[in-house]
Amino acid sequence: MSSQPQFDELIHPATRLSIVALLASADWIDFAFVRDRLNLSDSALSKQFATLEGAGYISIERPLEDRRRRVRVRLTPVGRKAFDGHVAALRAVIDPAGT
Amino acid sequence: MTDEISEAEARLALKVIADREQEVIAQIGIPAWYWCGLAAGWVALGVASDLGNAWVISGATLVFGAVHAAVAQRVLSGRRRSSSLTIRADVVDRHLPIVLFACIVALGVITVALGFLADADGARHASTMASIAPAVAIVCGGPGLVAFLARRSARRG
Repeated sequence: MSSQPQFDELIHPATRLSIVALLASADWIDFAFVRDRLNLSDSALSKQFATLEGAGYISIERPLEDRRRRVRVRLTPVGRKAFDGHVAALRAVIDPAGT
Repeated sequence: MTDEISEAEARLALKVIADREQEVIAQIGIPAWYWCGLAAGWVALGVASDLGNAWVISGATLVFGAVHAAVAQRVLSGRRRSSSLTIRADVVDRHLPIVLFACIVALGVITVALGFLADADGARHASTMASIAPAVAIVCGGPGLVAFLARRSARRG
């Protein structure tokens, strides 16, 4: 499945690229998992999530599990399309003939 | 827009993406409680078999099969090792549940064969004895087998 190359300035900054790349391989990921992988504070990660959620790239759910409030994050179809397009754009930079 | 980034920057970004994907792939696996539960159930079946009561053996086998079927369909996909994430189906080797199920069937055959051998040798608790080696193999080898299959699917990906 090849996507149309579309460089995405919202995704490209290193932290957001890492967040979206993690989410792209999963159906959903717990807030704490992303925070620990990226060594971010809760507030710094929340800020990044708010930006991505505002763009419609991720959705945030808060299910109640084992009497604890969990925060699950998933990539929306819009976010996945943007990520796939961004990856295609990066590949196009490396190999313009390959697109 | 892509003119604004260099080839080196694009390579770096793609490496970040690949590294993050590997971090998720490293989470492929089966929960530890599954292996322990399967091994315990295996030995329990051996003990039940040694009791020699057909009702106990049939009942234990049915309960084991039903519980395993219910649990296996949820965990054998390898996508839910931890409660922190669910890995996308297309990231996990789709053959993983089949390979694991085949291994469990093979262990069942090996257990029966060991049971017959132990019985022929005059062992008093042949079924229990025969179930211990596969149970140890499940606990010690199960996680390693899944890790190997996950690495193999990651290389293919």
